[in-house]
Amino acid sequence: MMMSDITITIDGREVKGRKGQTVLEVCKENGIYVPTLCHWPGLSNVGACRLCVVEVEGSNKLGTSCTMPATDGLKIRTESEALFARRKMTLELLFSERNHYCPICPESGSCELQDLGYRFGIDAIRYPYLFPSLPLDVSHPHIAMEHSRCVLCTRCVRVCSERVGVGTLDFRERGIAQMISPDAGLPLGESSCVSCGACVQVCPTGTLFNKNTAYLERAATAGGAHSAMQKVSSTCAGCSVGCRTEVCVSNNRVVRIDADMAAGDAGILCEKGRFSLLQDRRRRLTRPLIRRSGRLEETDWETALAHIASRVSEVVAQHGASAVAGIASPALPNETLYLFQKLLRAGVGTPNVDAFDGRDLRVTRAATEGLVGAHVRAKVEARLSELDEADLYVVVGADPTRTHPVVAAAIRRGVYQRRAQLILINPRKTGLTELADLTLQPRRGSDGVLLNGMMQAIVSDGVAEKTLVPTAGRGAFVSTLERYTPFAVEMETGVPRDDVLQAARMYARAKRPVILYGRGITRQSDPRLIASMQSLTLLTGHADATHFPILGLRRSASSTGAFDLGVDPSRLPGRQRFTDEAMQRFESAWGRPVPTPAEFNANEFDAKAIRALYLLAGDDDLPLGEEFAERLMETEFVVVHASHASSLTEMADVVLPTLTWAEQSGTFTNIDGEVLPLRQAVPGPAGVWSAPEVLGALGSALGLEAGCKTPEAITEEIAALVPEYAAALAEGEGLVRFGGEAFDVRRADLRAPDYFREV
Amino acid sequence: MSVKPKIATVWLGGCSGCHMSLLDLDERLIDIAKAVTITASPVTDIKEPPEVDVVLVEGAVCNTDNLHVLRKVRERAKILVAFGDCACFGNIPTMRNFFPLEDVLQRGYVDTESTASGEVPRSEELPELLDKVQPLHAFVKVDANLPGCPPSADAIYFALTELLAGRLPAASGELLHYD
Repeated sequence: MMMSDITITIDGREVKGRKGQTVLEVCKENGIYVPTLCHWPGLSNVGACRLCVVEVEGSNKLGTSCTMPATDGLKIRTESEALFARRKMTLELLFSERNHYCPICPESGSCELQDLGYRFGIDAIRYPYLFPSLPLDVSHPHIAMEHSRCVLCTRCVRVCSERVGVGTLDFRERGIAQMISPDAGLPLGESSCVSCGACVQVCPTGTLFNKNTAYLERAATAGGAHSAMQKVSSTCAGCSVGCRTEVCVSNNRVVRIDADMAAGDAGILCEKGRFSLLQDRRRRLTRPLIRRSGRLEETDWETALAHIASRVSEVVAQHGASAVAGIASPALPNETLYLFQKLLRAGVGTPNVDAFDGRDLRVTRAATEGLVGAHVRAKVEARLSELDEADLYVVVGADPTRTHPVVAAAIRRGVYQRRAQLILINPRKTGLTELADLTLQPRRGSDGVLLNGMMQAIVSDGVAEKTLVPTAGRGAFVSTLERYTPFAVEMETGVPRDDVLQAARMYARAKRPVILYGRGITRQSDPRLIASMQSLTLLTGHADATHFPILGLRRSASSTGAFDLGVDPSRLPGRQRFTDEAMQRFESAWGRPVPTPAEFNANEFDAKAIRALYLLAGDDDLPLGEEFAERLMETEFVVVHASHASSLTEMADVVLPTLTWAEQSGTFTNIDGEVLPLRQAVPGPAGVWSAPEVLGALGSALGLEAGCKTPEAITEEIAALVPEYAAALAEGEGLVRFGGEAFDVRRADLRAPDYFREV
Repeated sequence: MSVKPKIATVWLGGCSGCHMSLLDLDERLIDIAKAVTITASPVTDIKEPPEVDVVLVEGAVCNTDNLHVLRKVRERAKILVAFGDCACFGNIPTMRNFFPLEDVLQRGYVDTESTASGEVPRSEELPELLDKVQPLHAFVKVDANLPGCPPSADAIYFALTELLAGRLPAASGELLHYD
């Protein structure tokens, strides 16, 4: 017997189970229905609702199947007249205890208590109603809390502490007076709530609901037409984590976004993914605009695209193709990103194509190539799943509570549930500060000195002697580090030497540490900072054969996809270098010469050299920094391709409208290198072309051969040119692995970049 | 030819939505009218319900008159059906139970935004409000419940045909609804 090591008898039928499972789990696996109200997959079981009770042979008491361990030989009954009567009684007591008014409840039609009422044929409540006067808390910007409808299942309390790791929701009072209570009595809007809305998703009744979309769902389910609400399994476009979502649509409008529980991740989302996307208050663009005598005027697609083609051709004729550049938001689907670089490279002939955050990924690549060799195309970083196994988090130059809230939740889970330690390296206070065991606040720009100081502490203190890996470069490495004495490091960084030593010891002694870094690091455009982190993991023996337990928190849904598929001036699609062989392959596929790589950078392009710029923003709110705005102002001809009006579109010579995340299909590649499906949930506004259609039309106008006319054709072309993507695209999802020659990061040469020399 | 069963309907503390839904039976009303005699009803405007086989009671019990009518129809009907959410569960009319009775009257007759100088009507002619609004079964025996706010025409048709077939209706599936 391998996995099925126990046998239990359910309703006279012998079924297999595994040790450690609950009776409820065994029932579910065998397709045996047991009513539940407080059980939720992935949360602890508490037996609060008592609907899952079963009869146990040899016992005169009913047992809650959600908390009952399935033991070999156990005999239970899940259905009998007595059980039906008991469960029905429990339900009626729940209905009588508080104030359940289905006709006015926004969750009517998607309420588990109501569904159970129907299932048990409840058409009157035998017990006297208590009519308690209970408050309604609408202090939170998204979440309403109507205590009248609460059945005290405690799912919200459990998800808040066990999955989100904040523990905002708890109880007060006891027995019948018990109440769900944020921060021991604060209104939810003033509490420590992180607004992820997990409680709204797990609430079985209408107690916790999205107050901004309340009743929109009901419009679809009124009169019992439950099927009128469509649910689309998709992927969140909010950040690079790629949470799987279930997008609920009613009357062609997205009315609710839930974590897709079938996807098997933590089952949580964040404020942006669950709530903010539903409340897009930006002004939608539906017609192309052309600037005529200083003003943007509506025009038709043909005119707008012909204008772009002719202006771009003029610039190319006068100043050469490299006077044209394209910058794309990495929050767009892979397919659009691929077509974008193809248009720029093959259609226009310019190498200047970059993602808005392209620099972030190039910084990491440069560091990795420096350490393990330029032939490696594989991702050597940590994966998200490692966060749930780590015993130490070192968060450098990032505030995941703001940029990647689901990552922050994983860190909080680790800290609270596994007693993982947390070190923050950040000049600023972050949302994790209160949770940290140690906070180091190096002066701006001194992160590298601090990292070297940690390594010097490890080498000189001998804290890591046991794990210290002898590598080829160790001699030079140690001698470089000698200058990073506790005194020098403290002087340079402002971090007390004892803190540096403590951080070094914590890191060296941890068993499964993960370093996370964000744009606070990559913004400095210094690959040496990443190299120092990588050296730190090598030095302490934390690096595996093929990966560093370091995770770069990328900006957008397809930051990795853009990087993989050639939205990068220094690489062709497939992270391929510009070898003769590769260039020939792309030239024959695209039917046009492929320009050689360039030193282009989306964040720092030379506005004098770039005369025409195509900015593909999609529905992304690109942060228009002052410098970037100045560069745009200086650029002769600017096309902005965006779904909504913004200060960006105000600066454009031509504005092209486009679809939003909910209106298109495609794939994203998340931070793990996982290809994830984006599925259209609602139709776009009439007359708005999709980005692939626009890019195709512009390509034709610029002499590219027609092709990529259908989504299938685009996928086929990507699969042919980037074979690593072929399987994932064919399946619609899947992990992408880039190869290169075999390598072992543990054989990498230790290098300590000398930050002092630069000063 | 056998005598057609007699049906009455009454309207207590409710919005009459259930009666509206009854009219939504549309052409099926003709079949029903052929099969039964409809006696007292808000539709026929016969005030006093006679002895009947079935009475459908809409609304919750809010005041002494509701209670009086309910008791009378209970005596005179062989089968009493709680007709709609208010009759079955209490529903919206019970929302005043969260406030003291005097506050409710004050709010309704005096503090209303559109009232210039209002006064709580007090007369022996008027029925008194009960302290708590409650569903029918808190006062009399109910033979069958037909929830819904309102019950759909299909649910009503189902209930009536069940009754005509000599069975007590128990709605289930799509016919059982609380909204």
